[in-house]
Amino acid sequence: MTTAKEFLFPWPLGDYPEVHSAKRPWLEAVLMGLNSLYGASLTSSRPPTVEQKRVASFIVKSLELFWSWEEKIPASTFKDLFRVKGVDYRGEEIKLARYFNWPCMAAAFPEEVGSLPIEEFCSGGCLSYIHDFKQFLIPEDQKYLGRAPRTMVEDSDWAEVCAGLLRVGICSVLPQSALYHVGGRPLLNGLFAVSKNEVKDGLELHRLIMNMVPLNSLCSGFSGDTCTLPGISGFSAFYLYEGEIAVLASEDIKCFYYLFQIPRSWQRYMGFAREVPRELCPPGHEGWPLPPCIAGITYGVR
Amino acid sequence: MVKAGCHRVLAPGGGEQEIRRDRHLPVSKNLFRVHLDNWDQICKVDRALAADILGQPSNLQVAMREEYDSRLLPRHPKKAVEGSLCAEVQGALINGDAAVATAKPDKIMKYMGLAWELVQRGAATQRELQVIAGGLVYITMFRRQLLCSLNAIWRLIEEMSAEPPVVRWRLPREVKGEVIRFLSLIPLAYMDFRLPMATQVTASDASMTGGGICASAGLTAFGQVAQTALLRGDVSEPFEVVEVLTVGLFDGIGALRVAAEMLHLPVAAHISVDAAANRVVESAFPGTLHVASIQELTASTAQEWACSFSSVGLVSDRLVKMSAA
Repeated sequence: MTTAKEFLFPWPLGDYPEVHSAKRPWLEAVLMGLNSLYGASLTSSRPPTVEQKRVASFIVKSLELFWSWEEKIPASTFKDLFRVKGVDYRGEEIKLARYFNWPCMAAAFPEEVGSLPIEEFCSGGCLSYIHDFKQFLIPEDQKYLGRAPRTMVEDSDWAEVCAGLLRVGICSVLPQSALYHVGGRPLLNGLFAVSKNEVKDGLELHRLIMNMVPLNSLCSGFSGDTCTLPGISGFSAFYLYEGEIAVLASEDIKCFYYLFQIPRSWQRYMGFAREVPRELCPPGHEGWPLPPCIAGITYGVR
Repeated sequence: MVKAGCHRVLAPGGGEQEIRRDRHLPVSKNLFRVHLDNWDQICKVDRALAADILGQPSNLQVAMREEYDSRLLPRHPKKAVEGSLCAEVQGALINGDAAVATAKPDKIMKYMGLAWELVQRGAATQRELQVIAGGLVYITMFRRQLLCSLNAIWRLIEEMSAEPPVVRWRLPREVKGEVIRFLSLIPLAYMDFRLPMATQVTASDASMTGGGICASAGLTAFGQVAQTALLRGDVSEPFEVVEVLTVGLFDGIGALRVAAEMLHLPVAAHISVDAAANRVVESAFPGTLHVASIQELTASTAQEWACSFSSVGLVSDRLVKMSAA
């Protein structure tokens, strides 16, 4: 039996006069790459056979697909990349946690933030998790609280950030004594931001991230329907007949993480590790035994 | 939640149009996919008729918008796509006219630039190499075969773990060669939606110590029957069904799971406890979760299952009576 590698490789790089001269360097590059994968000498001095020309024409068609692109290789370097990105423990690229202030955050929130009761959007096991979260905490003897993560806001910006989060309804004020405690210590989470890569009125917009690692370490994770989420590899079986084309439509929901209001019973698990300025506290706070803190009333539940 | 919106809009059927990771891709003409806060629709249409719908919101899209409005979910109008031949779908650029999908051009350019920087410099930190390797793997999603062109880079990343991540290592010639070769093959990295199906099926697998490959030579009797069966998308499917979690205690050969299969129950998962024939169960139902002993079952195990299979409405350890009924 003759296999493809016997009649194709090693592939001669030259003598494709029918290919536009601008595309020939790229064709050569692809053929050299394929020859390298084949593992033999880089090229052949013989003229291409009919079969080699036929397959090369397929590669030229592939080149044409990319030819229409107008994007250019950016001048940015690794130094630029690592100013905004890092690599996580799995080796994956992630955006770096940033300090934030209120003006950079405020423009990203639509007015619906924190206004939609989450129970109205859930059913089955998801609703049970929302209603009965206490049941999903890990056993008492396994609970451990490490150091509280940072709240990445400069002291000079903190009062304005608190006021903003309270005003739009993402957080409310809670006495620290009302928070969930493990071994006598309150459960405190962190806050930071990542860049949205958008600029509005000269301000770089940020996305607010609640660092709930401390809470997550105390409860069972909820996977819900995530196993049904499609990946791009699923499209490999997508097929269009000759004469058929694909027409696409798409919709996105704004600021999905912060639209939904969680039940008040969750708030004790969602405090942040920083004291709220007294002037933002509700009446009666003077009698609270511990300093007040802000706690989320929205959460990234999908 | 977005999925629930689709449910209300498409009810009583329409489930067969959904692209989901846990089901085969439907053959329907109209498809949609939901990814968290994002909804996409892909319609296969006759080229001659496409002009009538280009630039217009589809009926389903209009219905979805009404559903969003009624639930006070704010749309992102700038990100909306209406009857377009080209759109970005989950990190891919789909060109419905050319019938191809590629990685996003700006990302390809970014990783080409960074990879070239490393090759020219001849040295890299582990972090830098991880970024490059991750970017190249993203590009291979559109031509899986390209994955086999990356080998030495993984070994080097692994070796680099022995040193702090900031230490810059000299790049061996073979790693530089792999990266350059990959860059030269990028024009092949696209999915072709008109590529004809091959009639021969091959399967291969390999480990560090061995490997195997086999190729189909024809259809068995079972294959002949399967060939005539309906495909997903041929018939209407309910959008949301109550799924079943079967828990086979002292599972034997997984008879409970077999019974569920015969009844065509929508099984979310099967948990096989204390099975006498694990490999038989695994072979027939590859997704089975195995628990070695019934003594390992605790309240926290049940809680874990509850979190993992939240759409399950029935947990059964005895289906025989139900099937008899």
